[in-house]
Amino acid sequence: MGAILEIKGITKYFGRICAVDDLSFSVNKGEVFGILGPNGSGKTTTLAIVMGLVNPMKGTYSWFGGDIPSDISRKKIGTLIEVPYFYPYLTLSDNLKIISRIKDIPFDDIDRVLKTVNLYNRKQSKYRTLSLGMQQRMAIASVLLGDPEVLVLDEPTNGVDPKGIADIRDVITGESEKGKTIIMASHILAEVEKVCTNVAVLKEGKLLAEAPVSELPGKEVKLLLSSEDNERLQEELSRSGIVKTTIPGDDHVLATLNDGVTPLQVNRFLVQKGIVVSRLEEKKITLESQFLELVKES
Amino acid sequence: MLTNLLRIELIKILNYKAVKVLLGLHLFFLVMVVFLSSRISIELPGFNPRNLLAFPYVWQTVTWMASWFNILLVFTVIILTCNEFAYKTFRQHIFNGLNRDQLLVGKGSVILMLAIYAFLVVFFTGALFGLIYSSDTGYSDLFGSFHILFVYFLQTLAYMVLGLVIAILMKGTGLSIVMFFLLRILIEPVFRSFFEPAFRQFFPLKAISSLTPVPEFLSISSESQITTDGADMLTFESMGLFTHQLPLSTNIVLVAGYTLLFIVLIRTYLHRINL
Repeated sequence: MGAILEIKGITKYFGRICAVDDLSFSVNKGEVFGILGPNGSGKTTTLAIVMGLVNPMKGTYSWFGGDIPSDISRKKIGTLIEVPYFYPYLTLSDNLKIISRIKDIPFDDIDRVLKTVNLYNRKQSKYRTLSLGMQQRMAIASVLLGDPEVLVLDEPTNGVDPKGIADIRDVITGESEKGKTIIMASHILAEVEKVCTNVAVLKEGKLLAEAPVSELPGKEVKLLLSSEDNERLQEELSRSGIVKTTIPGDDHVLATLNDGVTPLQVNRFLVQKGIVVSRLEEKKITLESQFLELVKES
Repeated sequence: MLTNLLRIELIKILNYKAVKVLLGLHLFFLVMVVFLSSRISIELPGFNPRNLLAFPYVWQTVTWMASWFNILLVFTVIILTCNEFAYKTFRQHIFNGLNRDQLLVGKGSVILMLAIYAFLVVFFTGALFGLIYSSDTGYSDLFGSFHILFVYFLQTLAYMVLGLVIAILMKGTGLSIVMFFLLRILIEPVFRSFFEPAFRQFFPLKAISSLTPVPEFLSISSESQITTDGADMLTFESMGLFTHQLPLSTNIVLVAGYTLLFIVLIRTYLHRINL
């Protein structure tokens, strides 16, 4: 798979504040790439740099292998950064006509994208008459205009109601299933976890980790175990060599398994030792807990 | 791409009330001022102020009057440009695939359209009043001072480009308009006053405004002057007014040079800033 976006050593300061510090990563075709980080970590600045809004002080980036100029590349990208930007006094149709003209897209596509985001009946409404949620849906419509190869989304569900969030998630999933490459910055980690295949975690402009979601550091399997004698259970597990750590709880033991060890192997081991397990529950490791661990560690 | 940029700007302009109001006011004020000037009557023998509206003098009179309302064209450019910053639509255009030069060319096409609009308004107003107040009009009279219309065209271009520069630097509509006024009535005049009168003509706003000088009211209105060759006692210069004026050709080159300089400066600035 070829790199759709390649960033090499990008650095950007705003005054004395370092927004992005020697950042490098690449996004391959077909990936749904999440950029995570606490507020001020450099997510939006990174996207603003690769979309040509902000000039980096050092480093380079290239779209589609760098074969075409960046402004032409951007015509093949649907972008939504922070909030939607439209002319409030123009209708939805006129706003989308402007984008169509810039991207050399026929006007026929305007109806399709407005139907996709359920705004077709507001086609002739002025943009300023839309509610916040509708404005965000209009932004998604503009992103989908011309069926772009790549979507760049920064907090795409900002200000959207739960139904709208679900709709936008469906749009993202649908586009990803079509093989589109999606680059998405968000602080709503549950949302990222649902749709992303790969993530980059940023803090203070630095890249902390970049990996497929399934391979992020801290992705160990944790088990909640209970038996009639939890003390003995913990002792046996600690000596077994199949767990990294064991932590006693009120009525359970929390065990972190060594790499490659499965819950079934743990159960077999305990049965061999004559311990009857009354509870064996895999503790779900969310992207959020991994993210918090990464950010805390750094 | 140029046609596309022009069409994009047309979508923005044709649906924007403020622009329609400003251009409507420009047309209304110009026609009203010319009409009111045609109503002036001075009961002096051998003195006919309506000669000012006869061919070929009408072109000079109407362009001079039209230059009073250039400010409305500048406001239009400032509002349209500052809107792009207020609505952050310059950013959106960059996302969608325009580059920074194309943003500038887009606004340049607006300026060109407005200059053509102003040219046509002045042409039709001048032609209308010229036909009404001229007797036995020949082609040589009709197009006698017609070149002044193209000079006026350059003047509107130069003013609007300066308005664009200020709008991109200031980014806010109110601030840009205040800045334009300050530059026009305070900053440049004060700065100019430190220099010799002959040198003052080389300052940008002075040079731009000098492109459409006050018509020679007295000599044009005096019927004996019109028919008497060589009698220049009623010209402004002979009365010690508007002295040190640069020759028109020098002024044109100077203003064209300033306009180009403004464009180069603003292009450089636009490439450096984060949008």
